[in-house]
Amino acid sequence: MRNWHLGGTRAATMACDVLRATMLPLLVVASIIGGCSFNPLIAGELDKAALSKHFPEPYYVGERDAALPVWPLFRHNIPQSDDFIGYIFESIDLAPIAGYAGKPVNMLIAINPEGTFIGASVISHFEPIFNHGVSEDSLLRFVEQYRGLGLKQNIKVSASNSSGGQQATNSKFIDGVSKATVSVRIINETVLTASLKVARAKLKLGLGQDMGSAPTLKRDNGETVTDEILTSKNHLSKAVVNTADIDKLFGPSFPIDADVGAQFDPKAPATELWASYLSVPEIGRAVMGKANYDALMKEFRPTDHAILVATRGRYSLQSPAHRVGGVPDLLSITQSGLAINVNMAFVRYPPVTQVLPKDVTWTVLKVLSESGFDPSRPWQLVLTVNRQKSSSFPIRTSKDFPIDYRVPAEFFIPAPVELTGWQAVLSEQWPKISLTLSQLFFLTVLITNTRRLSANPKSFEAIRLAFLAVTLFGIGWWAQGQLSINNILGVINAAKSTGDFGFLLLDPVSTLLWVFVLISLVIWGRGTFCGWLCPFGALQEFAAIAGRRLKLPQLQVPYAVDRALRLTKYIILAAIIGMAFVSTPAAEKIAEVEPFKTAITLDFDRAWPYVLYGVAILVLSAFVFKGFCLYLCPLGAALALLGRVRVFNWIPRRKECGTPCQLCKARCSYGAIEPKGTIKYDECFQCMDCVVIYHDPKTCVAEVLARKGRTLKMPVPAGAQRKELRQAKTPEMVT
Amino acid sequence: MTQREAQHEAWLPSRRQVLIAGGLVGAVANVGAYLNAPKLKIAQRSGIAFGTTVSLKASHADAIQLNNALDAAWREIVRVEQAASLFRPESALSTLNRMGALVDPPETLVQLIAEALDVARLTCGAFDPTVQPLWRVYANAHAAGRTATDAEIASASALIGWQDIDVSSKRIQLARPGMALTLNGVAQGFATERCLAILKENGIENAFLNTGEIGVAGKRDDRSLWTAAIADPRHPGDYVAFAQPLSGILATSGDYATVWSSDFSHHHILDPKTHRSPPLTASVSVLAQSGSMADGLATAMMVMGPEKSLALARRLPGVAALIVTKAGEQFMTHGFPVT
Repeated sequence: MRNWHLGGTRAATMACDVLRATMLPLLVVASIIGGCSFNPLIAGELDKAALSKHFPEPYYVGERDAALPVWPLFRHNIPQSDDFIGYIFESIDLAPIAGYAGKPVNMLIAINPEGTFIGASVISHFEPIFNHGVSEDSLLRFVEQYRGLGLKQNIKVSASNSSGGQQATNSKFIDGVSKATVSVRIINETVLTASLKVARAKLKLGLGQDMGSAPTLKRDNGETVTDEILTSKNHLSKAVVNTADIDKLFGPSFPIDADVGAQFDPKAPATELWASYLSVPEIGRAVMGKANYDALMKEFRPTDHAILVATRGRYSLQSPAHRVGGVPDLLSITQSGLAINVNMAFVRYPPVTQVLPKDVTWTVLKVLSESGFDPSRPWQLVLTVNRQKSSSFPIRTSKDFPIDYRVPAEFFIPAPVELTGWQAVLSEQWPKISLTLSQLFFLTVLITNTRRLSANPKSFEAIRLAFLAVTLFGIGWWAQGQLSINNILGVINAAKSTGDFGFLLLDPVSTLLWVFVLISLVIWGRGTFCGWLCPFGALQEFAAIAGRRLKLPQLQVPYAVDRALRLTKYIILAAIIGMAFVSTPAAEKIAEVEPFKTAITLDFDRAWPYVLYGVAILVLSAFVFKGFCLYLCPLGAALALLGRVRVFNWIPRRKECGTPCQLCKARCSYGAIEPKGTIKYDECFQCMDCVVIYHDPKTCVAEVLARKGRTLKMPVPAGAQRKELRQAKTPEMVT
Repeated sequence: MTQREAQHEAWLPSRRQVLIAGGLVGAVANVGAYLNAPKLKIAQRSGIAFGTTVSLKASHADAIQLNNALDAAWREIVRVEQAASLFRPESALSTLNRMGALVDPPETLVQLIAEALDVARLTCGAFDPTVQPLWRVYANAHAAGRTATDAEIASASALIGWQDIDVSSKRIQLARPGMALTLNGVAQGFATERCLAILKENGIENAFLNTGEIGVAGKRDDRSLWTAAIADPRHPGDYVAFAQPLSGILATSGDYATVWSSDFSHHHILDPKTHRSPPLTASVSVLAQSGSMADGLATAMMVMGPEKSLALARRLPGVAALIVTKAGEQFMTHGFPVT
């Protein structure tokens, strides 16, 4: 129990208030600055010389590509000419995906011309877990797994708690790192996104977007599709491009008189276009005729795609010299913004369907499966229109006119759902999420029903301890839901660098807790988290209980010293936030003040100085109740500042509280009750001790006296009050 | 006619010519052996351009001067690539092929087309930069795993005609819609010549450039000349000859570089008149002072056949040629610097 002096505290209180008054605006300003500077230039860190250090002789790094930030890698091969080994690049140039700390991981990646990883290594990262947490060796071992894997495989990180029995797909599973599942997932996404970009641009492998997860065509059911169905179900889609549409596209600089054909009859459609996805056998047979279709399909591998394209009008499939079967030069196919390479197919006979007029120009395009074309997703037929200013000095320009197509979904078997990103996390973590939700639910019930629950102080104490045990063992050690000042750093970093807050969804337990904490800050203040949901807080409370059971002396911190010490946590918070804008690693170093990573995330399995510090904090709590929370915790400081938005003074008080009764104040383990009786919500941990007293007619002094028909009288001189305070420890003495 | 290396897989190093000189490593070892020789610094720039590995190696006493010169030379490689690459959709040539006309073209492209047309004129159209549509027909058919049909070949051939390019510094116009150019038959030789000139302007005397075509200046070291090996068109890794040019550009074209049929009868070099790959010649190496001339002539001579080619080479001052036929015979003009 603490014995507070009343005198000589004003200066300390004022300093505390001034500090808090300045910190809050500082925090707000900081987050505004962070918020405004979304996406500043994120650029690679290494130049050619620095890259060369990673690839010593006989390798050497060539000149950067003119268009992409990739460097060719060669091997000296005297006496023959140098061998081209592959491309090297930094992932941050191509895929700046925010990591757990809100900043992108930067990887150095080398892939060979076949799209196989030569190697991958980490240039820089801000993942807190690998900084003095899980050993960085495990990160090295993780990235080493890429060597020899190919981009044509669907590389995934296997869940540490995976049930096994993975489906035999194109997927290749690499081992994750336990305790760092979120970080390695982000690293995998970074490596694949960056490498696929390079592969598409430089290797022309025609890689699809989501390999192994595309829907597949249903088997031919032999059904006959009539011309009516072809039209009504849009299996042979038609689009009309009007001269007016084209005019709009070109604008006033190339008006209609730049188009000789259009001038004759500007009202007539410029071009009619038809397209049909023939690889669906039912459609193909209906359009081409059975014998013709069967002959045509002999030219296609089962994985290739056949697309019929037909045109009628001024903008035809081809220039005037068009021949049946030729590769169109005015028409191309795109999907997801990427051009799809098409070849022509040789077709013996024209389409038989009556839906197509007889005077169309038509061709069948062959799209190789390597092109990455996914027929189940929408694609575009792009018509290129040329216009020429008719003058003595003709200038031509061309515009692309995309027309959307989509093969009806009824012809596809949906892909087996392979969850990615946060959905995968959700499906893996639902037990932990459920526990968190139920814990939050019980807490809400507890706090809103304190009156009823506190009727029996003994059972309330038991409920509280049980709840804290679940917080420590369930939320903390099992679900890894220890909120930390690092989370705030992550948000600041994300705002500063990528503006991508998607990483929050990768850790749903923490995100849920944060959402609840932010809401509870507004309603009840910071104590809801600190007193109930902080696993390390719970651990300290158990340490304190152990201390009392062992009859350890409880140290009494003099009031002035206590007040001054309480400022320390704000100074630590200011240092961390300030440093976050200068250097993230340094900020994370300071954030090691929190023993959370040591105690909760890593179960004390860490380098000895950290373990020593964490244990010391717990031992401290056995002597000074929750000393860390009161004096050092930067997260608590941040929540105290944010908690100033709290709208309710919900902890019940009487007019007698403080004047003269000091019982609750004396009983408060957190020193969160002012001598004048008011609750200092930003120091209150909502342990409910005072609420229990308030509702206990046998304990609350005012109640006891009221029952005896007496009231407490004021004022009491300062000296006397001190004396009375000591007496107030046992209500019997007062009565 | 000829269309060289029109789209060789972007990541394959060129095997057409193999540098055997041992160039720079040899130079390092030997330089110190000569007391009076200034200590030569050696530097290199390598990268991927023209769909192949390009490496520029040079030596000079002053390292800073050497590196500045090589940087300038590499910028020229990039400039030519951005003007004339068919691999890059954003290049000036790709834009010209898409649009049929190009206003305010880059100077490099104008000059390249002009030089390509010079070669076309000199070879009476055996070299023709307008074979690109025909090349596309063959390449697409090959990619689809079939042979090109007569109809396709005929329609693409109708778009061939080097006289139908209208080029000036203000604009380039292709006369007929659907026409397209390839400068792959001259661009590498052109770039090599430009780089040699830039190195020389910067005072660099010794250089060995491999852009797919070979350009040499000065010596490998005080005693020995640069040596280039000429690949055997039928036995990869073997050589039919070793050449030690004193200067200029050595360009080689062969039927083995991009093969569309296993008997080497269909490949990337096309005769603009017969619309087929030429039947007689397996490879041609041409040494000339002009890079685009060496490069373009090597292509043209693939098409012209050995007899006419040798006659042409003899007629042209400063041009030497080595021809290997499909039957394995070798013909050579006097000036060809075989060792």
